[in-house]
Amino acid sequence: MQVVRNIKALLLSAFILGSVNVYGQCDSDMLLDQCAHSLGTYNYIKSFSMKASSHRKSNHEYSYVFSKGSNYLIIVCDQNLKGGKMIVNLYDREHNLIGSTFDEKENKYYPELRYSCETTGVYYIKASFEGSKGGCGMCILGFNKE
Amino acid sequence: MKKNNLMKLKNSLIIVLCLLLTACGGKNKKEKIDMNSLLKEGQEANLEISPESLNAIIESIPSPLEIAMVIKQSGFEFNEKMLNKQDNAKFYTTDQDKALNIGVYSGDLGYINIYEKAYMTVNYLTSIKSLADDIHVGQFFDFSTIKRMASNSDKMDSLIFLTTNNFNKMDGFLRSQKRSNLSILMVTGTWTEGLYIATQVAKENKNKEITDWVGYQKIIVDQLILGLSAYKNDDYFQKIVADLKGLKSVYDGITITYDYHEPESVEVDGRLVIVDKSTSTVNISEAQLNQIGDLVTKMRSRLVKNS
Repeated sequence: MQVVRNIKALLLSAFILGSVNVYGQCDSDMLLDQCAHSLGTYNYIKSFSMKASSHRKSNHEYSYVFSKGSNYLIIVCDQNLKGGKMIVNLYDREHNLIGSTFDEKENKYYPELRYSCETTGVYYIKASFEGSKGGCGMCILGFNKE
Repeated sequence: MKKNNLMKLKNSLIIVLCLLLTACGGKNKKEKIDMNSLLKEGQEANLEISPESLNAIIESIPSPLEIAMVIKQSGFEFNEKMLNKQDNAKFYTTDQDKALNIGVYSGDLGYINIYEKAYMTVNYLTSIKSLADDIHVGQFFDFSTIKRMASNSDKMDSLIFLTTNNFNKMDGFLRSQKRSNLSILMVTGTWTEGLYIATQVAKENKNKEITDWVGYQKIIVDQLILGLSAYKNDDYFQKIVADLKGLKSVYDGITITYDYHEPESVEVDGRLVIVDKSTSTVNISEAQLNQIGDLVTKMRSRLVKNS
């Protein structure tokens, strides 16, 4: 009888741990609906979803060709949970850091990054979650030529 | 005996639990792809391109809205005659033709939407949806909302958002269904149509910004050749790669130079604004522009079956 109870406890633990690792509801359509209004006068290009579990370091990186003469907007859209804020870094074609939505000196998070491009080339958008913790979020990319 | 069996069962469950813990965490790793390295490696014969690399190539192809905006802001009038005729859709009988021309029509739609010709949007979307239904990606279209927005000139931004989102969802869905062959054809179609429209405009009107944009497509040609080569055993893909290699032979004579300077960051109204202090310069002659125009016109005519 004790053995049967132990087996049940093990099965229940396995089920709970398996569910928790999915990081709750990470719905990309919902995030896009939530944050797309921040595009303002920028035209929507695409969005990149990011999801990471707490015990693994996230390393989401996406590439896109930016064009000289265009302005780009990267919106950080996450669940805004304490300890799970998303940080977005933008790199040029040589992987030089152009900017980050997290200012380490001021310990400040920016909700978006605007970039006036004068160099056509492949750019890399990399997202992670603060303190290598888990999280769910999305980068929304837009452009204009004002 | 009973005790031994129970011990074995307990140990099996512990192993299952450990596997669950490791399996669930592993899925979040995304391979970091460096495009420069990928293109260099791609020059090796018989290079097998990974699904992650193919995804990176597909994702990096720029939106057709961008060149449409360059053309509009340069002051050129809308020219419907350049666009792929909706009637041509009846010629697209294979999944490959359909996917590629969903891309072509989406490129046209980007041009139509930037010029705010909402009266044409629904017609082009009807063509796209019909082709999309045939390859089982038509479920993302909400026609009633699109029609409502198209009838209201104040809703162009929302219309652009919705139609772009539809395209992205089709692309994402195809890749999730391991149908990246159709996904890369879609973006090839979009890009080809954008280059075709740009060269048609540039042929009639000398404009440095459009000419330079054409020159910068050197970056994309190499990426597309590499991505399409993932399906090099398919005759359909081989023909497109051959067309692109023809373009590449002209682009190899075009140079892009970079002058790096540290970017400048400022905070404006609580927003982070970064100004690029580097510059890129493209060296493209009128002869090269004309050659590219001729080659892409030929390639595009074959793909849209415009006889």
